[in-house]
Amino acid sequence: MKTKILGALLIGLGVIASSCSAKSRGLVMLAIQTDLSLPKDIDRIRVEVLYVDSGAFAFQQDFDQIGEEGRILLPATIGFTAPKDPSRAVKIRVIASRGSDEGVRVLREIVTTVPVDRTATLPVLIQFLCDGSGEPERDAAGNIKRDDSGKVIVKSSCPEGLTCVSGSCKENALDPEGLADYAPAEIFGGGTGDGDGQCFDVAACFDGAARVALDLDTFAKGGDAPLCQAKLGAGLNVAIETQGAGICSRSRCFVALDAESENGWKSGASGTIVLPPRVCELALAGEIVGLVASAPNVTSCPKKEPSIPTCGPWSSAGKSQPVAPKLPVVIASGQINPHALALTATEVFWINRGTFDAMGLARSDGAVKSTAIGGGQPRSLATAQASPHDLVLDAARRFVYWTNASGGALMASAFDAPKAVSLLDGLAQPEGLALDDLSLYWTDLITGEVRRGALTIGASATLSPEGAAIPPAPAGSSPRRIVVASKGLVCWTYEGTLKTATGVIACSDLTQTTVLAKDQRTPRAIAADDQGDSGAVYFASFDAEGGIFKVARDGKSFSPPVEITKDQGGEAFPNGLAVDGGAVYWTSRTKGTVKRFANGVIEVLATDQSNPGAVAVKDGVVYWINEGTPDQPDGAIMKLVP
Amino acid sequence: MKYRWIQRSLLAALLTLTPLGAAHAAAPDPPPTLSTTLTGMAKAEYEGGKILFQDRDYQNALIKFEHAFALSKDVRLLWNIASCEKSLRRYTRVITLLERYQREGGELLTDEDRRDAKEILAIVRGLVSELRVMVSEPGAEVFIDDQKAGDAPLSPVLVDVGARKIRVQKAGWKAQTQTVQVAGGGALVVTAKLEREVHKGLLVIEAGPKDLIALDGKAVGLGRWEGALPSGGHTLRVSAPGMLAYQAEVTIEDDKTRRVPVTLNAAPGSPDKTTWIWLTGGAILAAGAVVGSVFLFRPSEAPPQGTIGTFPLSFGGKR
Repeated sequence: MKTKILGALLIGLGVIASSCSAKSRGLVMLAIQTDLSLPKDIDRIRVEVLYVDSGAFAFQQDFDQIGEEGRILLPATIGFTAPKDPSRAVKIRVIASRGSDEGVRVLREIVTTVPVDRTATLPVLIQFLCDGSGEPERDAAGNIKRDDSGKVIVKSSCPEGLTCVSGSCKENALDPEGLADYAPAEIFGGGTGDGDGQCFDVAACFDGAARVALDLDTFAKGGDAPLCQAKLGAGLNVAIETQGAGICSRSRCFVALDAESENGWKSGASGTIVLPPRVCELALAGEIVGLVASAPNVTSCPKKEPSIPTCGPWSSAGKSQPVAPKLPVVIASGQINPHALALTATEVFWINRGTFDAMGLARSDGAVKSTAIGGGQPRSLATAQASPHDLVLDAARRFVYWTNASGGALMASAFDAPKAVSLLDGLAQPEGLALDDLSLYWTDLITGEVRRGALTIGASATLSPEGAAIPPAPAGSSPRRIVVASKGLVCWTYEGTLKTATGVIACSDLTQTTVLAKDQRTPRAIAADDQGDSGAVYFASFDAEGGIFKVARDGKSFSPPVEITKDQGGEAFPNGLAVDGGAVYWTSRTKGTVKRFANGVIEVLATDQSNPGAVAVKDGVVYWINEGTPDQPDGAIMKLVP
Repeated sequence: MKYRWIQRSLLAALLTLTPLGAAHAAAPDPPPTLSTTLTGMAKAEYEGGKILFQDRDYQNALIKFEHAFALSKDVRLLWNIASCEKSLRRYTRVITLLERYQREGGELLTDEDRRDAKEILAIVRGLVSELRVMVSEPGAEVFIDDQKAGDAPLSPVLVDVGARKIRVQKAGWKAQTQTVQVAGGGALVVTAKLEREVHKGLLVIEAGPKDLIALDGKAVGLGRWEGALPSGGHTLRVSAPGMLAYQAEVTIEDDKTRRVPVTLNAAPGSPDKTTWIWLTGGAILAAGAVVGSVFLFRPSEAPPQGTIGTFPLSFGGKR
């Protein structure tokens, strides 16, 4: 049926075009725009034009490094004049990717003819709601297919004849008669695309926006044509609050929705607005935080319409405020109780602890997540986890390990094609994890044991626990975090009894355990300098008057601990600890600060953070978790280039 | 220290060149020595191996002992062979040989022989590591130190301590070679992600600012174009209204840059070049343009240019 409709449309177009062919001045101007952030969410675009009758390419070009200075800015326009036979229908494909040509995110297809006697605008919106609408074709072995010129062959997630519009598959055939005449002002916010005109500052306009409840009950009962709506007046600006996709303020990320538009929202009955169904689908799946609204402001936050593109360094409309180089940026937001943090060269991993019921039992709604190191919509490697406490990565073998309170399990998953598997269960309360090649170490907060198991990696991971526990330290109780100081040497903290000086720090070469420090107040975080046998061990005392301590090391010989924050007047619950290139980084939970100690000097890197926790550093770039408010979706993963 | 101990132990065994068990007088009814049980060519090869080993010619001693073993099938010769392999620092082979020595030694070995073998095995295992080579392409050949280890996917293999060269190759894919430092006594994983071998070179076309450049029937840009193309012949066409089109076969060679400057010559009596984009509709339009040229070819009526550019859809295209 769809094919017939398309055929009829194209025949109709052909008749119109043929009758006008004597003029033949037609041109279609693609106006490519996005509601995402560049280069965080997408960093390259391919434009293809094919003749529908022959499948031959009339145009195919990759535009890499879009959104950078001196490169192509968005909105961008690209014109195509009518072919010799203007009745020939063409299929236009715009493919947006991130990272490489294999990182396809969005595919938009339009089948049309080029108007013969005018210049028409064909808007092409690269939408967050269509994230995943295109993907590379793969052969039977799972390898990505490429054409003769080496380009990735991209297929649509929609059936033939359909394309993604606002998250739904819709007819890709478009009657050119319905296209508006080309008017640059309607594309570039009243300007010409040369930095003039007006743009919409998403971060500024929605940063303090109130959350609006979606009517998910109605949507869930909606059958084949569910209605996604929210009780909201039509005079407001509306955005999706995401978990990292789109444009981020200092603590939240948004995708602005155009008012009264197929690509955004429309007024509904009696004080409601109607949204694309995909918005409610994402909300039900827990993949967005929700919907937010804010009042327009004539001077700085106009009503968001398709003719006003978003502001950003990538924008060809309006003047963007330059990004302050030393301010923290959000790379994932809307997280509930985010906790441990780990990095690879390209991704950031963390766990969400999830929530607890009235009895204090974990609800098994925690997750293991990752996102690109520059930020963006997170992916879940594992969901339905019960209060995971720690995670550790094997970047070379592309595996992640974490703890699960349900059944006291150690869990594993491959980065690619993730699937959570239990390596070992029946532990009392697995707490800290460390990895030394194929040796996995864990602490058990209740039994007080520190143990090691040997991993075997295949399609999934398996663990063979060693028979005996690592020798415990005298008077050590409640082991918490553990770290590999150097090959075959692990160090960990015993937090002891809270609010008492009963904590112990110990290191072991697996046969002999040495006490580095005792009588400490709640030592939790621990880190080791990556300097082989001379690398120092650092630990943090999680206490109102807490501090950061350094234990110098020469092989298995340790010096007495030295408090490097002695003159700071207490670090107020230092919560995370990392060492990189000889510099020590930590967060202070109640002060909301992130600090660095290097060359004998303590420097405040960030302030006003929301309960900052775990910290990790790679190549001098600092990442940390803002744990946010317990059980509220306001936790975030932050990044700072000091 | 352990290393020296191995050396001493094995060397001591080989200096006497008798199985260790035979030297222990306390053992009841020790089995006869190799010197007394071997006969004929096997004994001659064995005695020759002893002399070569004492002369530290381990490679040739190995050949002699292996020949003696092939002739006699006396499992105790595996100890001597293992001693040569150890001296040649081929520890994975030592392990294979001593495991077989233990497995097939039967009553020829004393308890002490077995204990010695067990102890040495424990130490030598610290000088090898289990290597898993994870290859992105099934069927790729995996070589370790230029010896084929098998085809991917490959089970873990034992490799000797030290620098090991891993080479992975498959027809149509770029071979990948990497050297890993094997610490011994553990396991390590080497990942080889093969990239498809693409034979291509770089082509640079430099034409007039508004000349249309087409490659293999596909419009690729205006004025200047630079990009990678598969090696081989390609059809280049540069055209502009009122100019004689340039068309040529351009051959691209692997990893080489081909630069093609093009200057178009004006066609006699042609209209203003600035109007070219309207002519891409073809000859019929061009003919019509003669009639209405005042209206059709005013430069002010040039089509709007997108921020990326404006391209005609008038070329044949390529599947």
